[in-house]
Amino acid sequence: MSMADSTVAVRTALAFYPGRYRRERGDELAVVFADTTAEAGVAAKVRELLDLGAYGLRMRTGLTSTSRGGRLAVLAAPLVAGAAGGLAAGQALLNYLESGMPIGGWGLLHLLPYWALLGAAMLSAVAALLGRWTAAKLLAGVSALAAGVDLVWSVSGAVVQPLWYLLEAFQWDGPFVLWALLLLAAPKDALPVPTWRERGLLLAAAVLTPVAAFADNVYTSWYELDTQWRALMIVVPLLMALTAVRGWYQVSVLGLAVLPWALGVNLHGLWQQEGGAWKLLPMAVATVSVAIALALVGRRKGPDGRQLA
Amino acid sequence: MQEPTLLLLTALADAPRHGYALIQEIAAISDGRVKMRTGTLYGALDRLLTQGLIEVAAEEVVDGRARRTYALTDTGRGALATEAERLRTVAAEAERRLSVAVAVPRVRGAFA
Repeated sequence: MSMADSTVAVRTALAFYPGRYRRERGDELAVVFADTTAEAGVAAKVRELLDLGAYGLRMRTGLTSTSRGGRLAVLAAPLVAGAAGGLAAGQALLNYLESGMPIGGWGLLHLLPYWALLGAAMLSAVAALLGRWTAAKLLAGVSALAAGVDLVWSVSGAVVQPLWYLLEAFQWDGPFVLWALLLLAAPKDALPVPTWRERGLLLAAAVLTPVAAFADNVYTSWYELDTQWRALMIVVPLLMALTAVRGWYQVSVLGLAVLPWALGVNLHGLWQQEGGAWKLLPMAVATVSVAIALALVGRRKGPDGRQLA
Repeated sequence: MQEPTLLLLTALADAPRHGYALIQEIAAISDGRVKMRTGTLYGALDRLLTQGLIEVAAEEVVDGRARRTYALTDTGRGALATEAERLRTVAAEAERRLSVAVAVPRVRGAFA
């Protein structure tokens, strides 16, 4: 049996793999898949296919347990799970203190995604604390889905200036989506059984994130902060995150964990204060240029000076 | 060492094996509890190959089917032995403590 003999579904799953790997190992993978699913039912075959495709996607995106991206996501996992859970818990507590009852305050139809987001993010952090990474990832996915629904909901009702409403909703929803994506990017086989260090990092992130987020009225549309400070709040963690290309993982992980929140709360303010998306273009171009330059430098020489690509 | 890694190295401890045989062996060792899927298996194999714990022992075509056989390296054998020793120590300590445990009588309804 070879890839050519395999079903369309298997060939589709194998298409996710990088070409070289597929040429070298594709036939072997197809054979093992065929043997494993020989007597399996439809549901088992679908699970096998998803698993086969998922590893290909990880290889294609550089998110395996031995790749730099995968290792970075693993290191960031406790921080992002803690940050999301802490921010959700802080918001739930504020809601309760302000209104005295557990409602979002945006109308009945907002209740479900809003509380699904908060509940799933909090439970995800608890699961991560206990080392239940599969559950933590699943719950983070639910929180991201709920945030996505809320984003769509925000834009769907906006006849005028839909971008304004999208970016305003992104202030709150965006970080949860990005944190969840980071957690989902971490390969499960490399996620650690949490030691006191991972648990400490998670709890520190869970405490510090809501304190930083709710210390000022950053979520209100009238909150004023000079444009350059807002830009710095995005650019600094972005550059910190990019130090991964030099092998500075400790700095990079911190930047990676902070960036979703910094991006979320400042994009709307920047857009609003500058008076239009196109006015942000020079800053965006400059930031992306620096990012690409850093990435290219890192590609040419690794942390130990060796050629990487 | 995470359980899938331990099971995979254990499955290779007595003889080199190919992909499907590894899946079957892991299911047997874990008493059917762990059923490793194809993508997960190859993710683990690629990681262990990178870490130098296993190696490709043979590449052949059997009945027109591509087959690679994997084997433990000396480093992998050492890592498995270390992990087995660690588990043995923990298990021995657990058994020792269970054997000397003082049975605490349960008092029901003492304050009723």
